[in-house]
Amino acid sequence: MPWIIIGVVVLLIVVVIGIYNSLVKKRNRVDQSESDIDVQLKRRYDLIPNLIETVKGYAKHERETLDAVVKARANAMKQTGSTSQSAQKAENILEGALKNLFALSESYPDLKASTNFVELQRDLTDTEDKIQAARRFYNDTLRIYFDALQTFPSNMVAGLFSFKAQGDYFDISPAEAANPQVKF
Amino acid sequence: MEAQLASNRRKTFALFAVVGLYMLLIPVVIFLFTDDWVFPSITFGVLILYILFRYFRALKSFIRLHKAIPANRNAHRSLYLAVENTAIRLGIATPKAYIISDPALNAFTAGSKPKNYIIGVTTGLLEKLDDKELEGVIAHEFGHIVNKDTQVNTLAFVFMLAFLFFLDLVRVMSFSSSSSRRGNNGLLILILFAMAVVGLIIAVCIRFAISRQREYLADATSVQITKYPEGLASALRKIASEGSALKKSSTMSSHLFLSNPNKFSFFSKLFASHPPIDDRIKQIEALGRSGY
Repeated sequence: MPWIIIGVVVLLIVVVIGIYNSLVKKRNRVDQSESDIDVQLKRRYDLIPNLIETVKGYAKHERETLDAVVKARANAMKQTGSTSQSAQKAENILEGALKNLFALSESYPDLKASTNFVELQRDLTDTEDKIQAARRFYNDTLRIYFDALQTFPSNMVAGLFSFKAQGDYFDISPAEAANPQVKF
Repeated sequence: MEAQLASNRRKTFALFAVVGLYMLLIPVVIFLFTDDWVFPSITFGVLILYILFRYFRALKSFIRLHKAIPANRNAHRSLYLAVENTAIRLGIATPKAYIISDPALNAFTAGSKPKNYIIGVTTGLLEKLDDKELEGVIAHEFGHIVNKDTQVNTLAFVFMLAFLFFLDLVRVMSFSSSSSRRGNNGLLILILFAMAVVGLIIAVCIRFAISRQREYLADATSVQITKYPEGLASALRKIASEGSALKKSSTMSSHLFLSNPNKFSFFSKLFASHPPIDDRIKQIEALGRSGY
């Protein structure tokens, strides 16, 4: 009889260890995917000074629009962690300021035609795509982690070892919200 | 969809288990006839070595056969970026982008582990497809990577090669059987020959069944990734009308392509490595309506 009890206890311990490790891995993946977003955001920050200089060369009177971009960039770079609400807000402001800057180029045909500007615009568009992709991956890892925190039996192990729900989802698009994450 | 993927993986594992067990029968049969463990073990060992050799050389052979060259970020920008960005979306290492110079519309993926995956398209496809369509195609190829199809399809194909190789071995064995136990050996050779042929038929059927099933799955995975079924559907429509048969193709590598790279023939219908394009388009459109 005692052997059965020992067997059950050992099995229980093994299962709990397995769930614990899986929770750790899922949380780490969330952290990793957050850094991946930071990497893409940095790409954008690095491209902007060049863009500012190029636009100044053709449209240096547009102080307001240019300053808005510079300010928004500085503010966004100050944010710690790319997934907090304030960080997301700062990025939205930066994206808005950039949009205004590109709209500006319509009034300056020389600027619009300059190869430097065209390339920067192309690179920035691609950076947008990359940031979007990184955010979508982050949403996936977050949802997988949250699922583990809330479903039985991993929710019990999570409570036992104080795994916390951390971070917020990104608002990508209504289509994204309607369809669950890609899981392989 | 996850349930479908899981059941598919179980089916694939079962299929490979069947083939593996069947192969194990070979040394057992030899032992039963010759009462010797050395010879059957050597035979089995040679078979395994052959399989490993072919499997790990598959990528290099593929690149050489189709004269695939690495893509250039500037010259093939849309391909390069599509591969990069989809890898970011999936949180996996970026596969190397490759190009095959051919007017036909096709795409491919190959490789056995994250370090050496490649994804590529033909120059024809790059010219004729727009961004959304290219995205759908690249997502389909990533679907193969994520579903481990490159490994599975290559393994299925290598098993087929192994049975062909074994047929050759049996032929060589039949020439060199010793005269002292002629009668017994003759029967053994015959049985081994029959086993090789049966094994080959099994391996061929498995190879093509797996390949077709995996194409449907990769289409579904592509839709999951892009959330835009019309991209891939539209690409497949263009491929259906313009043709995907490469100038330099072979049945050896057809399972790694988006659409059948061989010109239509009676045999290609029988042993189709890909489902009919119309069916695929219908499935994708159904996914679009029912949600993914």
